[in-house]
Amino acid sequence: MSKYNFKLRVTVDEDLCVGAGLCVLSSSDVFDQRDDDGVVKLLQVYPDEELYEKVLGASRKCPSHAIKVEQLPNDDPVPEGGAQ
Amino acid sequence: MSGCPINAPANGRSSESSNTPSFPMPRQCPFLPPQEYRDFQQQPGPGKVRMWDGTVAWLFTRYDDVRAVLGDNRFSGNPGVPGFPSLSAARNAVLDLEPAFIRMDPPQHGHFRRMLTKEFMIKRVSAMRPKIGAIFDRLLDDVLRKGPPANLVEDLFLPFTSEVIAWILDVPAKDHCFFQEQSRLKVLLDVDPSVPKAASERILNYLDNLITERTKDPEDREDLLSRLIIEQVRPGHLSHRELVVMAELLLMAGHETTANQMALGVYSFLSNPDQLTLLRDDPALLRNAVEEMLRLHTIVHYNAFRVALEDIEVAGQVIRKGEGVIALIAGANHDAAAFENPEKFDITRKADHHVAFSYGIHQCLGQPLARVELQAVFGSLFERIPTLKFAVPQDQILGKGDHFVQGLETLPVTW
Repeated sequence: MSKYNFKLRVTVDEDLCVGAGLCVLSSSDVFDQRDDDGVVKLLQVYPDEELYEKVLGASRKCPSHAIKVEQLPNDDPVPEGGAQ
Repeated sequence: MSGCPINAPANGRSSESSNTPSFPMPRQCPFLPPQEYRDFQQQPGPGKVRMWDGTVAWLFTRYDDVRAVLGDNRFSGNPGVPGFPSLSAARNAVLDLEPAFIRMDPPQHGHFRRMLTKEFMIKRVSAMRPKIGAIFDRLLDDVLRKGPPANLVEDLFLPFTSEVIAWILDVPAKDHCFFQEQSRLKVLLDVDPSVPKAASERILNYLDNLITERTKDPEDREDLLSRLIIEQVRPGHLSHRELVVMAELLLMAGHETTANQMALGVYSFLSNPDQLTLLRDDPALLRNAVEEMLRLHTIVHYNAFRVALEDIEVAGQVIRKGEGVIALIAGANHDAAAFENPEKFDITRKADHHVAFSYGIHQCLGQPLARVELQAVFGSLFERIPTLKFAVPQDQILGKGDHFVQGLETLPVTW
């Protein structure tokens, strides 16, 4: 049973990313860094619910506003697979 | 004075009745930001401060406002832009030399920074943990072998941080003392400008020679400078001189700061034994303890200076194009609205949203490395020396007070 009445959708802007890696520290399940330049790599567009706090924290801590987290109504269909 | 580890008296506050107090303002307690920051935090909007050269700058001290300024690239970090505030004549002399990307705006800033981000990303730095831990263990072995007393700054923390960055850049061990000394001279504020300027020039010369040599055989090596020569200099994305300037930034930024933070972290634990007990009883508190010591001390305590590139409104105040701004990370990290009871060293509080590494596109590139080094120290120092204590009365341990980078002059300990 979902404890939230919304789901989160995460997008990242690679051009804004400065590679600080704070998102990875917040949640390595959702964020990684590209090997060749340290830029953010999004692992879950629709992260699991238990990660919501960490994902929101990552978005706030990102020093270059590269992480956008949207709240969507819970009845919107999620594309097949959930993760990207 | 409450919160001050040596109970410094609370008098000595600026009694200037003018609306433009001077910046910087002296600390009452050497280990806490000036009490005046709290007054600024109560007022709506920014304060105004007067710099050494008579110019005026806006002062933001609240957590939200500091992040708003530093997260907005219409505030330039380039000291060459007219109106950029000036901290001191000595600091100007250093900034006059060729700028590294820390003093550039987009797009040049990103062009250079991107060349380095993979070197300091979390995965890569995490892989260095065993080597970094081994360096620390060996240096600590030496300290223990010599026996008490020791000066942890000189005998342990400075050698540790400089050996790590030197390993990353492959700077020969015989030259460590040389660049440690230049780094020390470079951050002095209250001296003739020729002093830090000369130190900077000596380092640049040294690196120029080192990189020239390195350019002969980078393929045979595995250090950061060799990779940059192959991947950036040879294809023409980065000039030799630009690499020299970049290397200086990495060398200097990477070790004086972190060593000072280590000293202040030890100081905080020894003056708050209840926190040390907490850490001993629950080693999982290590990472948060490191964040808390970063927050409490905010060692680059005069950061960050900016100048408006256009009219921008922040906290209800319109900052006009060309006006200087100080977005004070030390204020933000001591804003009670963001950190309850901010003067208290509390390793259990949520501290990871601090801005000790600043905020925005210039946020410290080396922060993953700093964290790994700090975790290496605080994950093992008190375990290996359980009876560690100050070797002199606590009030004889001097903070660096008004230096550009906070720290301790010495940290005499015994066990």
